[in-house]
Amino acid sequence: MPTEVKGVIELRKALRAYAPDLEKEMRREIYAIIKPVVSQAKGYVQSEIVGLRTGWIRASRGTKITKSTSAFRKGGFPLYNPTEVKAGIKYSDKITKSNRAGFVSVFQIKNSSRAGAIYEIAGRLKNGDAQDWVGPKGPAGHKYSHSQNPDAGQHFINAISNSGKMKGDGPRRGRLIYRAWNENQGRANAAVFKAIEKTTTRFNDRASIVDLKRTAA
Amino acid sequence: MSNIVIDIITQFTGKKAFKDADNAASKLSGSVKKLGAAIGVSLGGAAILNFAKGAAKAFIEDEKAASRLTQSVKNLGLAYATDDIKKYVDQLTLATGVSDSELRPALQSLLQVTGSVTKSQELLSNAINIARGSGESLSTVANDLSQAYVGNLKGLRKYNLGLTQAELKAASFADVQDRLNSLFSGSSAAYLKTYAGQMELLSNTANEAKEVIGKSLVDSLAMLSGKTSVEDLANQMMDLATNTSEAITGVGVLLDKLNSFGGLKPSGGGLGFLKTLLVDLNPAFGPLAALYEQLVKTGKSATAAKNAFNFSSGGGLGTGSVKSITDTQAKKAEDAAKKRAAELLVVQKKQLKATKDQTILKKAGSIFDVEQASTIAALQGKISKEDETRLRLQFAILTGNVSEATKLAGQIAAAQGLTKELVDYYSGIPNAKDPFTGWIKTLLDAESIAKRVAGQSQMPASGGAAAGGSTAGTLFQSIVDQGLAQGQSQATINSTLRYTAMGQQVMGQTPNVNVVVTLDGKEMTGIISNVQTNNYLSGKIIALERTQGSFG
Repeated sequence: MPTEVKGVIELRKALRAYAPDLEKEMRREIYAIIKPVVSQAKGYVQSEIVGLRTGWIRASRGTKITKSTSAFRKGGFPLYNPTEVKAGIKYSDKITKSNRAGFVSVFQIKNSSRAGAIYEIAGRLKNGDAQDWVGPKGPAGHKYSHSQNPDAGQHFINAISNSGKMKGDGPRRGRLIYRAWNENQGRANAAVFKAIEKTTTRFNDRASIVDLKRTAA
Repeated sequence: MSNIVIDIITQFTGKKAFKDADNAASKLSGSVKKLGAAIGVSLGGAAILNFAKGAAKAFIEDEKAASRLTQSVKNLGLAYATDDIKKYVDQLTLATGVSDSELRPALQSLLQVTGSVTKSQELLSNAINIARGSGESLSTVANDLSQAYVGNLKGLRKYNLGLTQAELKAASFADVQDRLNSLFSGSSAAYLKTYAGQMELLSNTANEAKEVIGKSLVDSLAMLSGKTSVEDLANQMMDLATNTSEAITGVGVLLDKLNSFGGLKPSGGGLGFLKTLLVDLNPAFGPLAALYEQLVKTGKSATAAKNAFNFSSGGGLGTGSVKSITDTQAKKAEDAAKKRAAELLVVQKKQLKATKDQTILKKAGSIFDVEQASTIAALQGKISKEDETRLRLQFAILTGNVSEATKLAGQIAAAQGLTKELVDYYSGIPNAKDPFTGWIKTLLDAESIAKRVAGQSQMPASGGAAAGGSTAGTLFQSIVDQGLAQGQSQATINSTLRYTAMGQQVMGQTPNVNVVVTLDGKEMTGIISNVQTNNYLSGKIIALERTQGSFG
């Protein structure tokens, strides 16, 4: 579960307005905490997925696998490109829009590429099992496999699972960022919280000094 | 776009819907404030808001109840009377102080049973009186009356009509209605004269006013939201809860002002208030008078058009056609109701007859009653006069013949009185258990007499002649005198004298006679037991024992 800190947005706004140096310092400090986790997550991105017989992986040499040549040519299924996936794993300290539950995120780690997202959670929904196969002429919907090969989905999940281990719990279970976050055991989270607290204290101290000065004046 | 993220630090800022609603409410609030400022009033507080909410709620509840009644009336084929019923309920609630939310279900239950608007209205008026007089709720009374109408009179017991159960069973609904009217007539009017009644009347009238205001509020809100149905409005209200409450507040302010200007008694209701507000109080708005007049005109014509439209028979037919159709339908419905009432009466009479027949049969069936049969058999046998009387009494009790039972009980009581005298008599005789005791006593008495006589006869011979002779002479003289007095013949007197003399002589010669009687106890007990058994079986001893046991 993400940690909710009440007033963190107001703190950032206040810092930006009255103590930009503190704000910058805090952001830098938090980035330093999160960076190892992001790096670790990037390290889990495999350059090659052994056993994947389909053309999901962009060929480094020879025939170029394109949307027209790939086995995943139907629809907009993304091709797996390790560089692109790694580039998609990043840290953000931008305040997001409110989600449906009414929460905004202040600091987050993202796995933003589409291929990276597939690699992250493929097989998570059915605990390692593929979607039900209905064939190319079966009922429409993203819940079914429409491949001509009934075992294609399972082969895909098996190959990915062999290349990277899934770690974490529930919706925070995956092979890249979730795995790295899980292995970090919450240390980064605690450090971020401490950094915010420290900055708050420093900001309050500074505000008190200003008040005292005003009083004296 | 993938959504694979780890939120390290988050903050709850509230749902989007809340924000939207808040924004919308803010906008509306601004608009209402502007409106308030334009007409020179300040925005109201929580009390106005609560009143507005309550009014809207009251109207919605009232409309629901009205809708139920309307549907029921339509289903009964009385759709032509919908408007009349509505007016009747409105008038009745104002006249009696009973809320229309109570009147409608009561009227509905009566309509469903009677099928007649006229009869239902009559019964509802009765029900109000009965409810006020008896303290029962109107719905209970209406339900009881509707049940009574179809012959189920059980529910009427609670009103203490002064009728026995049998009378109540045998009574027709008309009889019961008369009885109820005689007991409770005028109760409602009397109640309304009391302080509590007047308060209730006022409270009810206020609630009615609240419902009317609530209707206007809901209509106004629907207009404000630009929606055509209440459902649409409700959906919008859900999204913009704050918006709505502020809107109600705004309307509430207007209503509040309307109330505050009540003392001015402006004509034309709410529009009158507008006139007062815009024209009378603010001469600067003089040109608005024309607009006001136009508004009044428009409102009146709209109301008149609505009232003239008869939904049940088609609004396009015109008033005359509608009236003739309504009259025909009314006559038809009333005839049907009368027919139904007549049928019910026949059924009730049949039921009553069946009950009577059952009673007669039960009586006749008692002939086969075993107990009665044994009593009759006993009466036919050889029995004593007294036992016969007793059996007859038992039979009279079994058959429920009160007069005969009383008469026979008196006879038995008299007979028991006689038996008591007999017991008193028999108690004077020697003990039945040892009759020889009595014999001994008799013998001893005889001995003493003999001694006395002997003593008298020996007196002359033994020197006490004067006294003895005198005693004997007196004895013989007394015998002669007694004999003459009784008209006995001389021969009889002489014979008596002779035997007396002989007796005295014998007694004189035999001075003492000792008699010793030895009794066997067991033998005597057996004899006595046999005698008692025989007496018991013959019936004699029974009376004796009963007398002793019961009355001795």
